Amino acid sequence: MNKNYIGTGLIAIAIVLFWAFALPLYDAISDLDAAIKDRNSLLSSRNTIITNINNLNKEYQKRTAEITKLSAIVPAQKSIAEVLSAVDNITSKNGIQLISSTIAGQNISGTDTGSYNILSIDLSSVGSYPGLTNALRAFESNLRLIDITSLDAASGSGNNTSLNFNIKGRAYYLK
Amino acid sequence: MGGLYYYKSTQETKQADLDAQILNLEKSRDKKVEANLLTLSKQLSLISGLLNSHVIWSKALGKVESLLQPQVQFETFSGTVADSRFEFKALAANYTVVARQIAAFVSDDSITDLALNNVHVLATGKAEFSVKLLFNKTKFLTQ
Repeated sequence: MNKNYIGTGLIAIAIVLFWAFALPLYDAISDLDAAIKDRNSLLSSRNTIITNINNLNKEYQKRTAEITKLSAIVPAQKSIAEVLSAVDNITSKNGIQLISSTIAGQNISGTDTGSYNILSIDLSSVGSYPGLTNALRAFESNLRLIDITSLDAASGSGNNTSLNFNIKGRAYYLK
Repeated sequence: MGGLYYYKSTQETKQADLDAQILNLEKSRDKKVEANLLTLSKQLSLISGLLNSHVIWSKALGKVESLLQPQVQFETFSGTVADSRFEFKALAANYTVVARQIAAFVSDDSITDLALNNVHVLATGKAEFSVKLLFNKTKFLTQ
């Protein structure tokens, strides 16, 4: 009878010990296994990403010259000085006298303009009609993309070949 | 029990080792290279759309010149892309020339609408008139 009690008592103690120690340990190990699986997955994906970035960077380095040209089309910065220099170069080469110019950055919000901001260009000038058309061609083929959004021209007083004109345009830069 | 403790200990070591590897990988990232690649990616996705809608006013003016009648002389002109509009005020030798001029613009498929305003004869005998043209942006302004 006593043996039976002792046996039952030992089994009860074993069950209590299992609940008290082995089960939490088992849970902790299960959590560790899950955490290791997550970290392995994270490490693997990050390794792949970094390998891809390194490969892209190798291509980038090979094509630096082309990328520099491409970057000039829509640069990451406003680069107002470069636009002003281009405007001055284009107008002076085409015999246009620049009376006034305004170049100002506009931060565009909303989704319709995607990932770029606009640099507004407003020029008042005097020159001939052929000078104007040549200047427009030069703006259109400028490496930094410039879209002329509006133009106004009126014949100047006194001299028939001279036009007063106002050109509005925009260049782009990344947000 | 001892086996479970041993296994737990090895798993903890493995986890710490993986954490260290992730940290090292994070430290090995070149943020400047990543920023350059991100900028390039933005530029590539942007440039194609902007080039497709690049405005070519020299083409538009060339078209207007080709449609212009010999006896018409512009006094002023203006154009805006936003509302697809080209307006001008001009002098013509007479009403017939004005009519020919209007017909020439109407015949061009890049012109979608035309309004003739304020035609009057000056003391010089010439007809002064104003025209507002509405155009198809793709045909009139882009390549």
